[in-house]
Amino acid sequence: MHARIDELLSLRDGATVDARVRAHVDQCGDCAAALAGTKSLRERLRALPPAPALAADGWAELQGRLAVQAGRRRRLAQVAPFAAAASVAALALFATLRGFDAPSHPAAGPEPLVVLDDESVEELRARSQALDELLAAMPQRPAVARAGTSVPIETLEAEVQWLDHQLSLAGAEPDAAVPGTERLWRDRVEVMDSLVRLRYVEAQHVAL
Amino acid sequence: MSAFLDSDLPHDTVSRARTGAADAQEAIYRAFRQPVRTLARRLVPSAAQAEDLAQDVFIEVLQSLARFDGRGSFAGWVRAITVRKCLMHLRSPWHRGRRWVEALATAGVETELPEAAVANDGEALDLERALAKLGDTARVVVWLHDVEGYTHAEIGSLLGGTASLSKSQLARAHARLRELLEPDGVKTACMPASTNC
Repeated sequence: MHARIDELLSLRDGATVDARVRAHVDQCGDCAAALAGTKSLRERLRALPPAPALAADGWAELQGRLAVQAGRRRRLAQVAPFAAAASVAALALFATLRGFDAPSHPAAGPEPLVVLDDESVEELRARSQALDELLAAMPQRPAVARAGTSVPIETLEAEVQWLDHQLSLAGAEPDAAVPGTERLWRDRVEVMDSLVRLRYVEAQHVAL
Repeated sequence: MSAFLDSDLPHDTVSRARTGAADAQEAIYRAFRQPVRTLARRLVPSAAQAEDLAQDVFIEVLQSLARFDGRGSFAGWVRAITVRKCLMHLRSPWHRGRRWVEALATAGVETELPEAAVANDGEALDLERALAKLGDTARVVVWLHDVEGYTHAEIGSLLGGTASLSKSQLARAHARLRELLEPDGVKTACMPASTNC
């Protein structure tokens, strides 16, 4: 029986292979040629040329994007508390106008967020997880959304995704040893809180 | 081998970039621009998307310098960010939808100009074309394993699976590349698990 390609690749990479397979490849011309083929293919892949140089330098564009990102994060940090407050106000207004009784569902009317400066990473992570669960418990987003809530929701979702990526990069390290991890979790709690509130307002629009 | 291996920087460049020194940040960009672009180009089939992703990688690298603790190589850290960015892109519904639409619209039509075409290297061009025809997972696995030197366990973890997933994808990628590169020369021997010698 001939060696399978995964066995040939294991042989090529020096991984553990059944002795019978090794003995067969030593004796079988076809298998020896196939083994040489896997080595040759690897060398050809390694010898492929690099991406061609671009006419544009790219550094100036990158600097511009860095400045925009920095501005965006600053603005978000400034706007997030107001967005949360506006959401709560909108919620209160709807409740008053419609004689709305706040349901007992956990997604309804979350408590105003207070993120204390001395909260530990563990506490922030637990808060963040609770907000994730709250969000997951909310109804599906409407197929046709209002621009007034849809755009900020998508912005906040993108921000959460960005923070999650940052946290995943830091994830392999012990929390306390990674500078900025606490800040990331704090940001995530704040952004998630705003997101939950906006989603709640959106859900109320649909329900009304 | 990985172009990242030749691209490390003196440690003080990273330290200075971390404090916001623009010249040090630019030095990082210039040192890693080509390896990042090349890796993104190999992992992501669309050249335009790969270029965008390469810029995104530098945004992330320069914004996250505080998180680099200096325990591993800086080049390895930049490479890890590049790989993660590309995988996030490949997993995105947007990318998958685009691939599906492209497959319908361009069946049998080559839409991207591989790098080897620019270098006028026929053999490399064939290989690049064959690489581009692999599925996303197979292409990522064969490149990360055979060129970048990632282990199967590392690749499995990046893909949200196990080392076995990486091994099976590598075998599939090699079989497919061989088929594409040697359409007349591929023998059935050694491919199936149970043919007789």
